[in-house]
Amino acid sequence: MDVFAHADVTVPERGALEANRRPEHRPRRRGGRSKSWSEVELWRLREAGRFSGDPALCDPLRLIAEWRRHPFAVALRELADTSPTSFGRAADLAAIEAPKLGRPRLPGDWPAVYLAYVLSGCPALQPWYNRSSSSGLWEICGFEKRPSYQLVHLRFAEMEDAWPAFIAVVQDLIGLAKAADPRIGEIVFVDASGWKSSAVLEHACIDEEACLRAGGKPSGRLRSDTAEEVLPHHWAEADADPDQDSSAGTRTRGPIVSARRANGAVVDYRLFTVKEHLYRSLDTTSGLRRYVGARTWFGGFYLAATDFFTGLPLAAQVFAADIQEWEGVPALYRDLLAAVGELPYIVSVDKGFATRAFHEFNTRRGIAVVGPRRKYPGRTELRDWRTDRFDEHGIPRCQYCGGEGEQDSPGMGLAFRQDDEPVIRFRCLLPLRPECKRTQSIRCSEEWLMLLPLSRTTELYHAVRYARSNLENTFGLVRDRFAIAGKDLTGQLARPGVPPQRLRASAGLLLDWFRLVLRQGWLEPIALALQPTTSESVLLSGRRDRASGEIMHVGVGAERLGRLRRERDEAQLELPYGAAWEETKRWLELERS
Amino acid sequence: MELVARPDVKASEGSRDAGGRFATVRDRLVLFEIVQEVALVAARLDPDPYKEPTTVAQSAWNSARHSLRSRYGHIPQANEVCRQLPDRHGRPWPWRDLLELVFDEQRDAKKTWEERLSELDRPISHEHVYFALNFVRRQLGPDAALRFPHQYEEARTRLLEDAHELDSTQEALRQRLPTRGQIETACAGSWERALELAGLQSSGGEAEKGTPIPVIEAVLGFYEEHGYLPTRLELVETARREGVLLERTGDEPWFTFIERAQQLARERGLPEPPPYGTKPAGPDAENERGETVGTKGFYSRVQVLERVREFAATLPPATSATDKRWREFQRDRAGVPSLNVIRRHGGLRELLREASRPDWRRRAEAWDEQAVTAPRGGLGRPRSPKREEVEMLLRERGEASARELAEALGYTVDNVRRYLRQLKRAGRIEPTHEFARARNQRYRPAGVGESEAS
Repeated sequence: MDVFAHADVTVPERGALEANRRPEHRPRRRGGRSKSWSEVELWRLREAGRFSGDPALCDPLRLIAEWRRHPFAVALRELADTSPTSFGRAADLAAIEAPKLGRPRLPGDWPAVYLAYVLSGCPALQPWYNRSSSSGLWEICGFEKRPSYQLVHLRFAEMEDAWPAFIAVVQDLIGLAKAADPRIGEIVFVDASGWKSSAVLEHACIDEEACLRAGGKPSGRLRSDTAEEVLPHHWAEADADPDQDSSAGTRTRGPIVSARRANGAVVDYRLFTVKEHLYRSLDTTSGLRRYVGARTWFGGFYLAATDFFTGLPLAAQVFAADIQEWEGVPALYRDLLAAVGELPYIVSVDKGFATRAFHEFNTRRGIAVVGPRRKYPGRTELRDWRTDRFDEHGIPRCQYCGGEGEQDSPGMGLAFRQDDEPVIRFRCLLPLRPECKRTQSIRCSEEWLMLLPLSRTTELYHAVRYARSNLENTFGLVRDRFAIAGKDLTGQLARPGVPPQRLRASAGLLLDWFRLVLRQGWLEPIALALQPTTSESVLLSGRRDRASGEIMHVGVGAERLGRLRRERDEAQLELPYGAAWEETKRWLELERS
Repeated sequence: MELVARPDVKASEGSRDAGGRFATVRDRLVLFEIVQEVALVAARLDPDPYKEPTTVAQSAWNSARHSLRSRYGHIPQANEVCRQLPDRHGRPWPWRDLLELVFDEQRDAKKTWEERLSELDRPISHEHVYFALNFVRRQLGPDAALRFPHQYEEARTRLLEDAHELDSTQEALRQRLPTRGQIETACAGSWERALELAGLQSSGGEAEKGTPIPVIEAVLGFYEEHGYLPTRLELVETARREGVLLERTGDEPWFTFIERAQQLARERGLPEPPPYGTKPAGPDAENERGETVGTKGFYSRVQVLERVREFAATLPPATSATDKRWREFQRDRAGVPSLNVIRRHGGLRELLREASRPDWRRRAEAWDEQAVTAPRGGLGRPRSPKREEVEMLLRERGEASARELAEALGYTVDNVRRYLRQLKRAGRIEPTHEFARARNQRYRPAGVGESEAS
């Protein structure tokens, strides 16, 4: 199944979203049938991701011992094996440039050790190693003796290239969970959080005259500003016109250059240009983002797709800070598809993702985007979004009488034409003219931001918007638990760059999902004694009897929906308007006469 | 799907829904009972022995709810209970208010909840009227008539019942088709105005009635015939009865027409009409059916409805008819029944509905015919015979002062003076001296002086 136009979407890069707007093939749903919107419900498995209530799931030794008893551990060990004799590299052994085999490696399960390291939540290797020196972890992981710190460092650094192995196992675990409960992955929350690199930027101007022209002597070392200083500027970007990337010029990553140090060692540096001054950093994978308010962020982004049902991330992408958040979405969706087996029905995002490209990307894949609108030039008020074809809430209007359209009944809603163009099928809610009884359609491309597969007049839409706020703590949780995406001195990883962050994010996903499937009973524990789960799923969205219209369950979106209805009442949107209505009036007069 | 959580069935053990999921949907009226029971338990568990159940906090309630799990199955948290009982705008029920309600024996929880859910009156614009009337007319077919409001009302009810045949929903129809009362309120109580707004006013009727006559001429014609200046409704009614077509008045206030009519009456040398809103007293003050306007406290159904129609016509646009406005309307107007009379006839709202029916007059006349009039003087305290005694004594003596009569009859002078005043006003007696104002004024039976003089 290839729903992405370009095969190389596993790495977030500039222009990835634009290049993948149109899918080569539209993804199919599980079971071959897409649910109608009335069947999609917002559920939450309460406290599913809160493992602190069960000590067995928080004890690294017991958990890793249990992990090693499962076949997933064997699969991970084989996939992440970085030795020259590993299965993945066996083909290279006969080649001319075959790697040296060297002496046999220390037997032991390095990925399991790495999982224990991540589970400890320690952002630096040295203190963790020191603390674990007398621990039974090494025996549990199959080591005859405790390896040296240098060896642990080396193996962990090698493993940074093997992060897809972790992701592959995570996807198996999620697939297991999805088979047990199909509500997983139906509605997801996509957002990104910044992480800071521990490396600094050194002033490296060679041309002294150019340096003087650029404003004299800048500071010798440039560090990232604190998250509190940067965040307001980051949010301000969400209010800027997304079609004009004002920060494009401030995010230039220069080439990697090699420099010889005084001791003769040759080290690689990445060059960055800041206000026409040249800077260099030993961290060659992180990105530099300069905000309008002269704030600097050197590091990257952790982009996660969090499941509404379990509250755990289903997929994550880590990339440099000079790449926009939405550029990681194609790669994120590819992971999501591999894990869940289908793309989500609804994606909830914040204002930063409210771009036409992002909406188009989702609508073309049959995904409804739920999120706030951002400011657009010339559209300062809600009313400014109104056209004759759709109103300010994105509800299509009848092309014959200008009345309100209805897209939520059976057979209506998102559909794809023969040329794969997405359209919203709807019918006139109160047919006045004979033509109004026809089924009508409007191309989503008329305004991707407004014409959504999931109507804003449904309670589900508002329930998702309401429940989204609870998932904002996703990033806080992964920081606390696994020191992923640290953005301050105490939380940032000691090892700089994207690869360690990416490996850690993958390991974090694995640990979370392994613990969840154990606790929920979707995977039978082998030796771990777990407390019986008491978490129960609760329905957050509303339920309405289709025949009688009676509300059977009040959802969390009822209040927001009530507000929207009041707005519509005040704007008299239940009545027809526009050129079609004026034409209908003339038609009525003619008919009367 | 379970509509009510059964005590013996836990939430996780309930039946599966169509999607194969366990689902327990509770009857929300049971929630009131649960709130009360759990609050009582929470108050008992509180360290304060005098804890009132109405002041239980949500956290305490949440802790106590597990004790009643065996009876009600899974009990949701307090905030979830509040959310399941929203108002019309989806806002959760405030916790304190909910507790007060469930412990208030004077209030019915179901009724209070329904009041919270009931829709507020929406402001209805002329656009709503246009759309609703044209939509209903289109649905009824080319021969449909919406001349009278009850026709609209009946058609609306029928459309709501058959909403699915229109490929629509009752909710959508209800939102777009205002009730007859809402339309009339938006059109100052005039259905004619509603038809006019919708462009349905007397379609084809104007040709039958010939050339429209100016409104001022019609006002003057009315004045010459009835002796007073008509209200807008009176004029329209008369014109319709007589088959006269009036020119459109537009949005100009009615009083400007009256002023112009008064001016024109002066120019034409007609007698000065009584001030607008008043009718000449005496035998001339008759309505179009020859009945005197003066009612002396008794109003027939027809009279009441006539006044109610006048009242509705004078209401400004988008103004609802209230008892307070009726009192203002009644003030300083002769022949307008009091609010008590209106209430005896079923209340203002009911009368407005009745008055807007096309056959209101016939129905009112039938009402009046069937009504059993209370015998005058047959009910209540019997009338005092003192007045007759005073008159009889005066006729015996031929002439007497109030003091003389009081002494002879044993009544107080003030009482006798009151009866004398009544007799004098009724023309039964007269003073002996026409211009006398003295307290010792003497009286004689009426006509005695004239016969002596002749």
